[in-house]
Amino acid sequence: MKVKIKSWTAVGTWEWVSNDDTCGICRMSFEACCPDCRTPGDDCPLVWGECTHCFHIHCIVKWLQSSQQQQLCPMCRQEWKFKE
Amino acid sequence: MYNLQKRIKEQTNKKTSSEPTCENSTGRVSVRDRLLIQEVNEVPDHLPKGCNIIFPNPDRLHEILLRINPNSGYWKGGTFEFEISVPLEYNIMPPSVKCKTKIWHPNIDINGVVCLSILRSRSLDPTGWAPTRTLKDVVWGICALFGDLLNFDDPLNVEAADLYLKDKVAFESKVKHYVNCYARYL
Repeated sequence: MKVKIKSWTAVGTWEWVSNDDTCGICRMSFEACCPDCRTPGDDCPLVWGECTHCFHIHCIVKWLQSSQQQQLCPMCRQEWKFKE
Repeated sequence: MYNLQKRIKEQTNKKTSSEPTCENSTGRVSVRDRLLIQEVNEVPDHLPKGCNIIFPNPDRLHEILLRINPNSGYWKGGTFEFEISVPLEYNIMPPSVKCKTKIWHPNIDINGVVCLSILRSRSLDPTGWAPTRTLKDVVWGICALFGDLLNFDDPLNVEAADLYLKDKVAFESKVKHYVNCYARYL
């Protein structure tokens, strides 16, 4: 028997690999986007600090901009440094 | 006949007349209001003894009254009312708290300004505000000013702290006097 494939549609799924389910700042799921965005994914990525804590990039930037003197991780209060 | 156009019009009218602070310019519920809906629910289960939380307007969850009847300590017997207002920038910015009841307390001044580290934004001190804190922590912090967090070493009302250090009996009687004059109306 021979089968002829006339057309096919590929479907992919994705998820962020993080050690937590929700962002500690906006408390939205990491699979969802931050409150200022509309679509999850590359437009609203996650970032990690050297302290290993992870947030939506928009959330942590908002927090770091609001604190003028010292940039601290809101979770552990160590100095925030973006992990390369 | 069911008039959809009319119904839509009614709804938009309703929307524009409702509280504009609930939504930001994009028409979405603000982060503050979304967080408050969650946080407000967890407060009553974790309320310290002698505390009472009141929402004068259920549509404005960011305006909160906290009543504290300390069950021990210098302020026992008084009822102290605190106004907690949560700014639109919450939870990047902390709530602001004011004591509505006149009180003689080293960490609360005569005008009701409250000195509590977790309410400090842009604080260098590690106990300052962070978005990981919630309303529950704020309520606990305020209540702790009558207990664990009562602090005579770094006072806001310097006169009250000085009096305590010089003459504890005089301090206590001044506290009682304030309680009798201002904190018994509820």
